[in-house]
Amino acid sequence: MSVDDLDRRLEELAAAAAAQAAPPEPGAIRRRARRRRLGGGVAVLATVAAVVAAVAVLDRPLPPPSGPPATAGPGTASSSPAASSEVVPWAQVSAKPRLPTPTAPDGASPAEALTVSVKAPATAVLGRPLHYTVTIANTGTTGVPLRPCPNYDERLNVGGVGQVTQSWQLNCATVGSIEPGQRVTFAMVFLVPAGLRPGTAVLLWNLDLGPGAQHKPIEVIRP
Amino acid sequence: MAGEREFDSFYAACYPRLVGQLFPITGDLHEAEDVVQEAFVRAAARWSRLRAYDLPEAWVRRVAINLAARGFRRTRRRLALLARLGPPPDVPPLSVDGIALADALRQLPLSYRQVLVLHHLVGLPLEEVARQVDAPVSTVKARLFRARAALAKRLAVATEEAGHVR
Repeated sequence: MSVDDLDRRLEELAAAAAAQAAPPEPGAIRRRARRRRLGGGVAVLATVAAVVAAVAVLDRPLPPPSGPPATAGPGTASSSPAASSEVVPWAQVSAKPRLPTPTAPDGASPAEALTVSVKAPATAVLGRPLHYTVTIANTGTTGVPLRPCPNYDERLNVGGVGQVTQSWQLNCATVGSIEPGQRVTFAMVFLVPAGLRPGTAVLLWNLDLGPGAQHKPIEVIRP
Repeated sequence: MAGEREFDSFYAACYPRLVGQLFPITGDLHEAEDVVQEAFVRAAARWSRLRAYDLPEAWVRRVAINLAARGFRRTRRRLALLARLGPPPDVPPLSVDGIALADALRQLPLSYRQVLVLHHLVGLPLEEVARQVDAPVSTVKARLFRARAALAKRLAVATEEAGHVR
């Protein structure tokens, strides 16, 4: 293969890839850069907030071995273990600029104790909402506050031929925090674009605090 | 505001080209987009300084190439950098030639792909390639020679296999 031939073929390959590029809005890039600058500036505040939250958790009386915690109050009904079978409804709340993930003084994040599982139907239809659920469980020994409600990303990746990512804020105002051993199930709705290509897909869900999970396969079909 | 408009124009003009240049290095379109987006986020954070550069695109490209080399996508914790709310454009897939070349490139070491792209696709002189990959010019020359030889060999094999299928 001559050098000229290599140049030409590389240019053709790059042009084909460039044609498939799907750039996000420039405003989204700028907002992310701003959030990152803000994040650096408030890191100290976030640490202080994490310490205050940890102290609040330690101050709280220990829940009995079974049943709801003694401190469950109005507006936090669904955060009690007894209510864990309820599904928190989905709400279309745009992702918000947020503080960095709080960390304890030893550098550990309470959110590391959270695990996520995704339950979704076997098929998704182009142009129609995909209804599924996400269960977040706290496997640690301290409660994980969800104030403010964290953002999450959901991505439907169709076998390397296309993907779409959506970011929302978790509808967790009524949850408050996830106590040790508690599982909270959230209803989710993914708006499957009509222009996505059909095929076998993977649904990935990721909480902004760190944990994530995936569900596969999902067959994306035409209506 | 003028700075934002300037950044937006720069982003719109350079994004597809940079994704095209990163694709032969990453071998994966989504990974190419991820590293280019991350490089633009970093550029946006420094735009007041970068806008004075002769070639801010070169800065973004270099950051993106470095991110690709560090396995940015594999190590990042979050799955999504930005919401990509629109469906991917409906464009024809790669040609047979393109697929063969992409496959052959994927089999090369990353350092070979970097010099191939910077020299043959971006068109940088050897000295500039050497500066960007932080290696002596002689090393860059050697990598280019070996990369071209390996590529030619792999493409010949691919062509021969395709010929048998027919």
